[in-house]
Amino acid sequence: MLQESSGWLIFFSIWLLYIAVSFIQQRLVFTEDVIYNTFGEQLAYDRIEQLLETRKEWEWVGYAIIPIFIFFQVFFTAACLNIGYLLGEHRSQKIGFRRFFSISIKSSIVYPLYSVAMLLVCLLFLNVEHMEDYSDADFFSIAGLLHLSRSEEWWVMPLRAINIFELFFCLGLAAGVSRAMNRPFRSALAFVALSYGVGFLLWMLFVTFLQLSLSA
Amino acid sequence: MKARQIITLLLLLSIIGLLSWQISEKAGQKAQRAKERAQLPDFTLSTLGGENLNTNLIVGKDQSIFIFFDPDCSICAYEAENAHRYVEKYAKTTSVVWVGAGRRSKVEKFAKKYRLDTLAKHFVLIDSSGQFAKKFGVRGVPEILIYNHKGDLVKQFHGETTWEGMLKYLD
Repeated sequence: MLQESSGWLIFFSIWLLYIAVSFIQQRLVFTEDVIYNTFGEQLAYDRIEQLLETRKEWEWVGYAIIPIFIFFQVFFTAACLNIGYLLGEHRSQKIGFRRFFSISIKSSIVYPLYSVAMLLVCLLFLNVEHMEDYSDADFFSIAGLLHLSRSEEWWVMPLRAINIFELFFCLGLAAGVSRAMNRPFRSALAFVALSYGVGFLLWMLFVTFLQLSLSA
Repeated sequence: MKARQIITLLLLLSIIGLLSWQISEKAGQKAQRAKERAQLPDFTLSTLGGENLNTNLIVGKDQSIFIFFDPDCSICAYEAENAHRYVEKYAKTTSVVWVGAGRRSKVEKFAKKYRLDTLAKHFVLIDSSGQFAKKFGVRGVPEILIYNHKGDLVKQFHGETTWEGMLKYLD
């Protein structure tokens, strides 16, 4: 019971962190000036004003749907681990989906830290004039390190997904799995790589395929 | 390894292989299309009068703006309305080719409503087969492409764009 409540506490903390980052981002990074600079070439002044009004009006919807994304991500990770467990050979300990779900929620705390880190880099070291400049704050992913953040979208998304926080997430999962399955950390890490790692790869390939198919 | 594990492994490898192959095919096609439209491609579309016209012949040595539109799109209507306001700034050196998607009757109605035929060097063509949309990597409407007088693609805009924004890319 205590474990369950701490899981949900982490879930709400993740949500709150995302809300805080988004709230600060809207006010200090993507300011009205940045929006005018970004869309000034394409949209007329009154259309940009309309856009800003709409952004203000619908801001809360953005915050409200965040838990859906967190839930999906946590569920997906737990499902990958559970499938890996069911297909694996070492089933001495009986572990259910709930346990994997709990491990996944706890490890997910590192995801909003990626947004926090980017926001901090942006506020402390960058001068954002256009919305695209925000991608320059990404020092944590392959896309950022190889300066590919402004290449084609379908290429950037998977390269951004491979980042230092994803690595921490996998380490967190491995620590949880190691404790739950009573296996050495290395063996748990191998289990995470073969279960969640494969699921993650499939998801990346699927989303990239979808992006390429939908864009001309 | 148990049979169940071997089957799963084979299944996963097939899915990963299939998706990777599809991604590489699609990325190749995308790059090829981008390369093709970097220079104004030679292609023929039907005019409102029903004749087939080659766009290279229409444009000639002018710089050109291609506006792909849908007659039912309100932003496209906004672009058409504003074409009149700025016509003096670009008409001497620029041809504007409006390429309408959908039914001929609707495209005709649109051209008439916004008096596109009264504007100098404005042409209205119909892309009934979708060949323009495919060739030019159209993502939505309006899609705007600006070519210089040598036929090099200078700028491609996806979605609403002001005429001031377009004029920046003209000589």
